[in-house]
Amino acid sequence: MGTYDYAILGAILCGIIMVFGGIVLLYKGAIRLQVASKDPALTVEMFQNELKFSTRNPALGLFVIGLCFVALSIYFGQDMAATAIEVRGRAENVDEKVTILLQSQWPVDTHEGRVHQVVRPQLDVLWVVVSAPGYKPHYKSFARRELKRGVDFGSVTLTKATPKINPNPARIADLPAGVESPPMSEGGSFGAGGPL
Amino acid sequence: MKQRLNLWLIAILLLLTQSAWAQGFSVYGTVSNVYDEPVPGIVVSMFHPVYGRSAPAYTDGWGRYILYDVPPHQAPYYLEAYWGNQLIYRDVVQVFGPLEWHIMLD
Repeated sequence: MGTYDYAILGAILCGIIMVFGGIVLLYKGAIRLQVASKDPALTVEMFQNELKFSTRNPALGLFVIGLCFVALSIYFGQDMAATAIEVRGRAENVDEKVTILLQSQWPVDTHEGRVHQVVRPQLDVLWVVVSAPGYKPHYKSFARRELKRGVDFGSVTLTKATPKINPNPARIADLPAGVESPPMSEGGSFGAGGPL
Repeated sequence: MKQRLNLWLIAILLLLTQSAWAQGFSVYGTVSNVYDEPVPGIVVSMFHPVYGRSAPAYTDGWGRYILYDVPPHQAPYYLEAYWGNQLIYRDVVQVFGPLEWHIMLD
């Protein structure tokens, strides 16, 4: 989580505290809904004065401000939620372990070979690659507007390219004493397998 | 004076070491079977006793794979290929520059 995420969460927390604090103050009798001032206690103008909301009850203003905090945080937090993509689909006719690879690109401009640019990664196009050993991979692209609904690559039938290859001890080099092959789950310490 | 010179030398050495680390090379090639047909969907990964395991690469429809940014090292790497979770190939490779490595399986 970055600073932006913490700011959004903080704003939501403030809103909730204001609303629940207002309820507690009402319950304790510190503020009353019946108490009204001569001048508006709160005026909210939205959409270039098309929508105007005004109240003379300061207690009600407390709730409105609190709810505004929550609503605005949810609105600006949508970018944060966009990074979570639900992937759905089904690979048919495959006996092997299926791997789904998600790939995208963020080109950065250079000036005389130098780069200095802040990138806020946004998925304009996402490539979904359905891969299984011995089968031809299936590629499908998703545009940005489709990603809000998640990635549903539907039903994919992979074409078999080669029969299963069994391990041949002659092709597997022995490891020297004291050296162990780290599990695949520990991958990512260096280098990166990438699109060709 | 001598102490200051030593500090400068250490700083330059550190910078050189850092740039050497930053200069990684690509390891690329193909995976094919005994009939010289490409094998897609194979997981290719490398590991090194010092650096650990690389991120995996997957062979495409033409059996091609590429691993970017592999740092050079005097000690050899182990290049492995997996059929799903099953190890089917391992060999010792040296990385001093871009490396083309074709894997043949049977």
